[in-house]
Amino acid sequence: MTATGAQPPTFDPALAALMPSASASTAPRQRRRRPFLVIGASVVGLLLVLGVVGPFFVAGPAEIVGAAFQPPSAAHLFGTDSFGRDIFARSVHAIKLDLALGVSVALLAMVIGSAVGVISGYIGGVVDDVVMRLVDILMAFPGFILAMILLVSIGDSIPNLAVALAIAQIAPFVRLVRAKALSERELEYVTASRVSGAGWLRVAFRHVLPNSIRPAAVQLTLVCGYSILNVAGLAYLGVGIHPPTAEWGVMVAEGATNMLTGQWWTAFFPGLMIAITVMALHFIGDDLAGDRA
Amino acid sequence: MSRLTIEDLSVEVAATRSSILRGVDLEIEPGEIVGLVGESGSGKSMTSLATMGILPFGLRQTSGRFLVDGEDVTDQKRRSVSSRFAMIFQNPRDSLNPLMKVGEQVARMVQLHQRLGRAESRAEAVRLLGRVHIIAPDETARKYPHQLSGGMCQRVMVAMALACKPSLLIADEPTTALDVTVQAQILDLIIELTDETRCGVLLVTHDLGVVAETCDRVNVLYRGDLVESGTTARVFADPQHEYTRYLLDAGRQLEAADGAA
Repeated sequence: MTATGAQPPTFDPALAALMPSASASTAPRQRRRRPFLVIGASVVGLLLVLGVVGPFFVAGPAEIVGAAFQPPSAAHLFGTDSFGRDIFARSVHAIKLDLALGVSVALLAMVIGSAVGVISGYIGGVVDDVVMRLVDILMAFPGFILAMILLVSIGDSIPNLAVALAIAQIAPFVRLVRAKALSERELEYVTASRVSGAGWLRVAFRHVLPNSIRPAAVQLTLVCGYSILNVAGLAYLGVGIHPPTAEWGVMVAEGATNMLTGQWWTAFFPGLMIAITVMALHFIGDDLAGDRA
Repeated sequence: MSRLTIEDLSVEVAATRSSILRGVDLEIEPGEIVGLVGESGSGKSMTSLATMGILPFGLRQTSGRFLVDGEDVTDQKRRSVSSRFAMIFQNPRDSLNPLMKVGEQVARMVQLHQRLGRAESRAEAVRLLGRVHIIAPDETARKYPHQLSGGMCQRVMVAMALACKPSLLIADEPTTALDVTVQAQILDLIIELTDETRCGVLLVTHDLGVVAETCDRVNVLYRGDLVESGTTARVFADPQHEYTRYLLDAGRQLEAADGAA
């Protein structure tokens, strides 16, 4: 059979249905402008670089560089504090500790919370009831107070600080992942994997969890920010991290007493660092949260 | 020897003890497609889930024996694996894990049921995709479910079922979510593979048209009771139970209405 001239294409229904539909596979993906993600990620990226590289170029965290209470100047961008230490240098040294604490707290809370959440949601029944009541108890305390109580009872150290803050932040992860797992477990691919012989642990962690983790990923960035705030807040109250460690919260606490006497920069710049970091993390979280199409 | 024998299967809600299935008996021979029909809530899906041994939480099986290829598997844990059951579902898009490539999902099934290595299972998965008449199986294997049409997804499900080398295939409304042309192709595929592999098929559906086209025998469920069973020709020509007559009449009235319009 030879094609002569302009013939209409022959229609073979069997063949047509077997072809992958063009719209499903070949359409280019729409690129969305994501200014918040770009801003948030660049700020966090910049902070990371500054946190890693910066300490080699600035004065030491405890180094006395000159007279106390010098206002911000070209030599001392953020001024000096009551001991004559450079506040900019101390703020740069603090990046590593603050970000590391924020990230590790959020990750720890996410790992524990998601695991508990997916089990609770997938198994349901009595297990779910018990887990959710425990979560209710956790939520009954304000996270900050809970972390403070925990920290005081397990001992005041930096690793314990991370654990205490993480425990205080588990509840939202459990609830988010559980809610998604509840709807996900009704889908047929879950039944299909049970039929094919996968045990409940495998189904829960291999199939349900990856499909339920998304809301938790958003929460991760938010908790990262909260945790930095909480670290600072606890430090301000004198728990967790103590002077003379270079940490933003500690620096705000130390500087707060000088605010009244006019040396505003001692508390303002470390506070600004906290604000910028938390805001950048929230920008990232906002963008991820909106991307549900 | 029959592929599957179900004797006296009863299921109830554990909390209220209200019964869902009462003494259902079924028999499926090798290479035979047996229909299970009935209205919504009659217990069709519960029969298939109970056979698989995966009743939903809160339901309890109170009696029943299952024989697969003559062997009593009633008390076996993980009945669905050891006795080589496979299942395809109503909504093909929901039956595949959205985060795994389809080739990988078929390969996992091969790995589990045929004890092959990783590379071999992948090759076998591609071969199976070709066997269910997917064009360019190599390329399709690397795609995610959302990149495939419903019909293609259902073919992938059939390939996964084949990977189990099943004695029994349970198809729970396999064509309900598909359009008519694709529906016919999937049914043809099931018929073709049943003939080839000599497995038994339990086809759960509410579509009498599908039953007439594909099933050798048909069972009618009504409110948890098996009210009628027989060859498809006999049941359609000479329904014994009032409910079967009602069901057939309902179908015919629709056809008449279609003709008049």
